[in-house]
Amino acid sequence: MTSDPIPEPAEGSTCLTVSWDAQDALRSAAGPEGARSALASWSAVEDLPCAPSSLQLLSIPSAAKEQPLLAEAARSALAGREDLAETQVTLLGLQGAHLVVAPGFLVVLAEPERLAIAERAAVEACITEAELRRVEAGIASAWAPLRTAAPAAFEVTPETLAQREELKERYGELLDLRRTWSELGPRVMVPHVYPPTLASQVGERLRERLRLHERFELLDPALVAQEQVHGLVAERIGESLNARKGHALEWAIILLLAAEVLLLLAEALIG
Amino acid sequence: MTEAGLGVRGIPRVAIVGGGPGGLFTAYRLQCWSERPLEILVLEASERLGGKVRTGRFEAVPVRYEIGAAELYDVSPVDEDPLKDLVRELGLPVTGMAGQAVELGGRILANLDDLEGALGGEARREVLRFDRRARGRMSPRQFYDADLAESFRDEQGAQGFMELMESVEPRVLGARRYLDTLLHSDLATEAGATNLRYGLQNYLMNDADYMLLYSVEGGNERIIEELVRRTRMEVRLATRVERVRGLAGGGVELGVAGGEELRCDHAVLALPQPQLAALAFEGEALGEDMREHLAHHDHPAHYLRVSILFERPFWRGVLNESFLMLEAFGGCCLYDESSRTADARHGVLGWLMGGQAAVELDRLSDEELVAAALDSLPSALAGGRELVMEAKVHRWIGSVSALPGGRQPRPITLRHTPSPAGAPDLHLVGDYLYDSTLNGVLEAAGTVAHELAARVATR
Repeated sequence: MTSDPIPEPAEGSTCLTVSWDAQDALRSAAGPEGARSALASWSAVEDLPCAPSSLQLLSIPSAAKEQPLLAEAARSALAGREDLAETQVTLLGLQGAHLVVAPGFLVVLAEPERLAIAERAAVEACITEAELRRVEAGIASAWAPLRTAAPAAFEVTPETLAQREELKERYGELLDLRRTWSELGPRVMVPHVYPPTLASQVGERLRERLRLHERFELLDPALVAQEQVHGLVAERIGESLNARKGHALEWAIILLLAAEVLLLLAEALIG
Repeated sequence: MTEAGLGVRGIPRVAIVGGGPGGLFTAYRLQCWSERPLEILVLEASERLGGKVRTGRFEAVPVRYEIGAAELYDVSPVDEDPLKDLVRELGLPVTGMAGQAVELGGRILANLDDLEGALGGEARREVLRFDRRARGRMSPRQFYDADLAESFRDEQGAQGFMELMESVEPRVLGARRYLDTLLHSDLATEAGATNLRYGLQNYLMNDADYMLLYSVEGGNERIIEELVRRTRMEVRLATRVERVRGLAGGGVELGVAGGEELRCDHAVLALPQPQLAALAFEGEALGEDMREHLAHHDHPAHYLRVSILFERPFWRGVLNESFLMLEAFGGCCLYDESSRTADARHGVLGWLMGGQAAVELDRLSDEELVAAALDSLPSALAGGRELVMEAKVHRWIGSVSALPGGRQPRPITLRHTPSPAGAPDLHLVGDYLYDSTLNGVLEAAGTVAHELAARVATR
């Protein structure tokens, strides 16, 4: 069963894969072990092409008193996954709602009439986090090739010139990361809302617990550093290519002048 | 008579009466800003320094709790924050505090959706209408500058805030109950006993656009400890000043209990309003000016603090923030004191009861107060009664001001030097002069220290 409709992602941003029909299984699961087996079947039913960071959502309408047990079961189940470290699982308790969040996963437990509000706000924060994580990963993976390319800022070799297309491609990827980072700004730096609503509290608490603000700000100097290295390398390669063209032109002029001198000499000898 | 000061040895002497935060802030600022060596003497009537900034520990287990000032205000979202800068300068780590929930009729309302669920959509709309009116009356900039007479004119006087509260549609009973509960504990008085400026400040302080809350890790009293450690001054504890007189040729004479008389070039009275009122001000001009000053600021407000140690923080899951407003006692702030400490094994709840309810509750014994506090817990937390290990009661009756700054704030110079003719070298520092907060005390201390540093330099 696919959960209730989720807000349409903005064009060009993350889409959501939502799945799960085992809500009842988790509700009736006896403790963490039962929940773990119930959650084992949790998988995406859709794989939307525009989804760079998928999010699997499990929404359970539940009374406030049963939420702590269900939340702990979900937390335990997610922490037990091989692809997740326990420290990546965050449990958040609010009045009348509990959230369990891990990279790519979101469990929302709320009273039925509040489920949609909590779900919407939590999904928004999780998608922002996923996008931020994608930028973080992109930057992290760019350091090693950048280190390899960095010497070209000082000396351009034939090997460097051979990598020109690859470097252009990476520079484009870096610009994409910068664009994504810029677009994330308004979603991370959300103004405080007072008097608070459940949605504003869910958003604020999640952004705080997932450290979105700090992480967002830390990415800027890393992007700047990578942009600077790329800029330097691109500049040197450009200069090198221009210099090569200049050299060829100089040789052509030298050869023409030499030919002219030879012709003048020949004319003089014949004359 | 002690003849120190007044140019003896060429070192000006400044006597500070009161070893609370006002006195210590003044001493520290004076030491930092004075271009001449100074002899600073602090006279404190009690056996300890720190006044209303006090962190206690339980006896059963040495768990900390705040006895006095529970939190500090962070106004840096609007402009410079001298108190936060000072805390940073003292090298003290801080913890953010937040609380938005209100308990009404046993239900915890953490947000507008809860409010609507419990009291209906009309209550939600009415609270939002009140919020818009409050914001319309005071911007974050006006909030920041509210203590300056020229910044915020409160033409309606003391009735202004009551009128704003009464603008809440009376048919929507829940909205008014919600707002009363939200505000009562912070005001430490009733809405009709304060003015629009102070009432608005205490409502808008909940909004992060206006200010944030924080406390010092390890207890707010660490501020006092650091100030004492860093300030070169002579401290006399258990020294009660009873009499003040301005000297004809400049300087001030202080009469101490027991007959000793101290003369100084400048005296700073850093006392709460009731202690100030207990002093005898000699000389016609000084006596008259001080009577006028005291009458202008005679608006006492009241607090009681009940702090209870529990075996464990059993409220987690229900109370997840630093504090919650309870409907009991006309509106009472319930602090989760253990939220100030990471990995707290035991739990501490602190009830801050304010206003007329505090006066009435003050008649009860400590045991009765503790029982009343436990009775006020919402039903979801009633089980905690069996986990009580120890309880403490602290009474702060008349210790704060319901109308800090008076009905209309006076000009800064007159606030701090109330008798320019009778005792020009007598200065006043106190939270009641600004906004009943530590931030206000520091502002008062800074103003007086600047003035003294300048006067000493040109003397």
